[in-house]
Amino acid sequence: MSGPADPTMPDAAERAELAELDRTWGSPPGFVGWLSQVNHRAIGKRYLATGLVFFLLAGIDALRIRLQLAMPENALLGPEPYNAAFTMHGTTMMFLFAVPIMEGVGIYLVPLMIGARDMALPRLNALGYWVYFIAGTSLYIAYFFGLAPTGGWFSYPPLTRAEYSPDKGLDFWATMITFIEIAALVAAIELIVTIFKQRAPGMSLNRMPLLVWSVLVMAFMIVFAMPPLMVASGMLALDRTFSTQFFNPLLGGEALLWQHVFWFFGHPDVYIIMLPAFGILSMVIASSARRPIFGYTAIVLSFVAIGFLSFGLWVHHMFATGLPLLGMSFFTAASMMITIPSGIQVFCWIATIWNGRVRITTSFLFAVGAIITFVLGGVTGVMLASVPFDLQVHDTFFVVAHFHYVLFGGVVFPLFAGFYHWFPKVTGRMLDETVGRWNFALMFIGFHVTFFPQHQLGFLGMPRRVFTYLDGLGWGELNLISTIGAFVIGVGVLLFLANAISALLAGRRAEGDPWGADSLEWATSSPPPLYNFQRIPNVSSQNPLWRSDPDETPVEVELRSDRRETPVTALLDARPQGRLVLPGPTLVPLFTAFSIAFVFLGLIANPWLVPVGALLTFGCIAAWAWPRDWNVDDTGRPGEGARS
Amino acid sequence: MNEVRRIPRQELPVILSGSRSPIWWGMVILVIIESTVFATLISSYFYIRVNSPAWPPGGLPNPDLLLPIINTIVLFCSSMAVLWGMAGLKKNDLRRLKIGIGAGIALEIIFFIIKIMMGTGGPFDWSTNAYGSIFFTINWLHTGHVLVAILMASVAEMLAFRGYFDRERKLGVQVVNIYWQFVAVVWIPVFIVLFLTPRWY
Repeated sequence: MSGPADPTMPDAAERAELAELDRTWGSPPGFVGWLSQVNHRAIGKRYLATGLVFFLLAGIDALRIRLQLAMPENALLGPEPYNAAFTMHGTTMMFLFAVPIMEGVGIYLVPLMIGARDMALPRLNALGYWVYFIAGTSLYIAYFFGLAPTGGWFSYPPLTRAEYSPDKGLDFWATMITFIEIAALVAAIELIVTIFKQRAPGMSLNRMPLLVWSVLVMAFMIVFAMPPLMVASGMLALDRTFSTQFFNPLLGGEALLWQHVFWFFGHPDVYIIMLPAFGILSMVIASSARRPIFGYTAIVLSFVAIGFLSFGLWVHHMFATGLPLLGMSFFTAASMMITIPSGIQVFCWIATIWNGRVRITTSFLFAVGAIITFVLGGVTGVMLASVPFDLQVHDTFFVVAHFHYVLFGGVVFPLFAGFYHWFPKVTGRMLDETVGRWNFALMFIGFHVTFFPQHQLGFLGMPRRVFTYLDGLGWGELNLISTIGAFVIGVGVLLFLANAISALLAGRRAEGDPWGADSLEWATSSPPPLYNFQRIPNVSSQNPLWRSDPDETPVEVELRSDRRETPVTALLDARPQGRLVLPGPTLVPLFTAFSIAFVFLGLIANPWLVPVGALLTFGCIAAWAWPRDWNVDDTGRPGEGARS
Repeated sequence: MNEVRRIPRQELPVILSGSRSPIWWGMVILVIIESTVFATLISSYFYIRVNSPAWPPGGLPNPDLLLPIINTIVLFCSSMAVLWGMAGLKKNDLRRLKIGIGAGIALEIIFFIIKIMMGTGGPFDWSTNAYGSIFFTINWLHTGHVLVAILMASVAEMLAFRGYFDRERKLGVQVVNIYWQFVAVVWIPVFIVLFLTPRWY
């Protein structure tokens, strides 16, 4: 089959093909049409936008917390609203912002980066988003009606059992957290399958962009970390509404069981949200340094090593619970060990910058800010891994400072680097670089002004999660500085929003590849057409847009344009194996999400809703699984078309 | 630069099955997720147990063995029936597939009924103590999985009766089979942990 290369197609045929592709991959107009979209970029954009809204809401809670703590014996928020504010701040940032937005990054970028037209299970993608949307909004609707959880984002029983937290807020927390993990698991399945089977011809595993690698490891971590969380929050919900005794010490239950299962999820979760961020940093740094990343293999192995090691660290959250010495020593060693792969990545990034011809863009600045901040957070992490030190500062502001360094350096700054890097691709408009530099400066300086003093506050003994402190302890000044810093971050974030809105309204148009970067998403227009690629690209190196191997014969797969098709390739070497026919727009995922929501709301409100929801869910899934077209085959298989 | 090698669509099948199909991988990952759920629950069982002075605590008797043993046999037979039907599909024998899945469904319904009989009797329920909570949670979670497997297989059976499947178009039964075998296999650790280990030590 080595016929001559495709002769230049006549313009009219080309135009007809593009028009047909547009029709095939389009969705019906109007609001219902919008609800029925299943294209990965539509879903990805919704994840990103919804995640940003939750980021802002959690940011408002953060500012309220900082205002309350700005001076001693402040009476702005009482103890209960303060508890609600820090619980919702942590819950939102972890469950409604960080994890979903990283999934959104993966869902939006991965198919573009691997040269696919869409993901493997588009309707499942839509289901995941609707589950996330319903869970997040119900949690916030409950919050606005005064039903806020007040047990902190890790909700330790016995405090969170019904005897001590009788309000409905914690019921919402326990059920909605269980519910929302469905979205995370669905996204993980999607991403793994798509990365395994839908890479462009020639993109063997060792040629995958680093962001795709990091998303793959993240997805596998979700597969092993989120089920324990569902079990834990499910047990808590059962304890609260169906009077089971998992966490009731009086009847053989174990409060520490919660801590073990929760942190078995909770620690990997930190790396679940940091790995894609490391992927973003690797892409941004390579394209800013205008050279291939230094140590591709070392970075990939670090991702995998972090993925494994992160499951062996959870007990370092529990050093103060009186565990056996041997256990504590093991977890100290494991916690220190994870700095090795983290360090390898940092050195690879530095080497890339060192040897590159660096172009200083806003996204590059954010990347450098991320590395600095993350390394500082890592250093305090090593300090906390040692048991005697941890016991000294446990539950003080030192810990608050530590994990905000890690999360800003490991999640927020990389994410903003990513926003500036891929905004042109997503919207077709360039963000303003001057405003961007101000945005970076305000957020970076504001961050360190906010959180650096909190290390000192921790040493001075200021406990976290206490709504005020007495005058004369010497904590007032540092707290005031910290509050000022928080507002500087706030101004920085507002500047980003202003920049984004003005770019959307009147920004400079972006070309296909404004940064001269190397990965496939830049091979198509900005924003990409609905079908991503008219011709599936062919890959013969790690940097397909920079170089290709002259010894490899490029392959082009023939796809139909009158239905949604994308190539299927082999797991290891991405040899073409077939075509995947994908479903079009449908409302079934939305209905399914609402049916599952019935089941979970039933756990809070009325147990009879549970079987109703379960039946509805099954009906939806049956409708979903029923084959739409019995005659999909067009390869001339004998006997095909005889049945109907 | 070499010439582009164009692969015509006649060489790119759309009917994919087994590890060539993305959907097959999706089911495999779902099974890994579900296994993690059961592994977490079983770990929780032992965590509660090692911190308990007696097991079962509070003078409760050991769980009865007769019905669970019958159920183990029933589940094993259902698993074999579905495998037998699947093997028929290799020879394009759709009738055998229908009989296999049908028998599997019937056996799992028996399993389900026996489970209901077990679940309603007994001197304790899941609010008695933490032992009851973990015992019934694992037990009922598995029963829920049996129910889902029955419903999934019913959809496959309806499609089989309409003549949808053949030697190549078999992805639907393949994924149902993966789930089916998972539900049967995971019963073994559940059975051993819930019903046998309290007798062993």
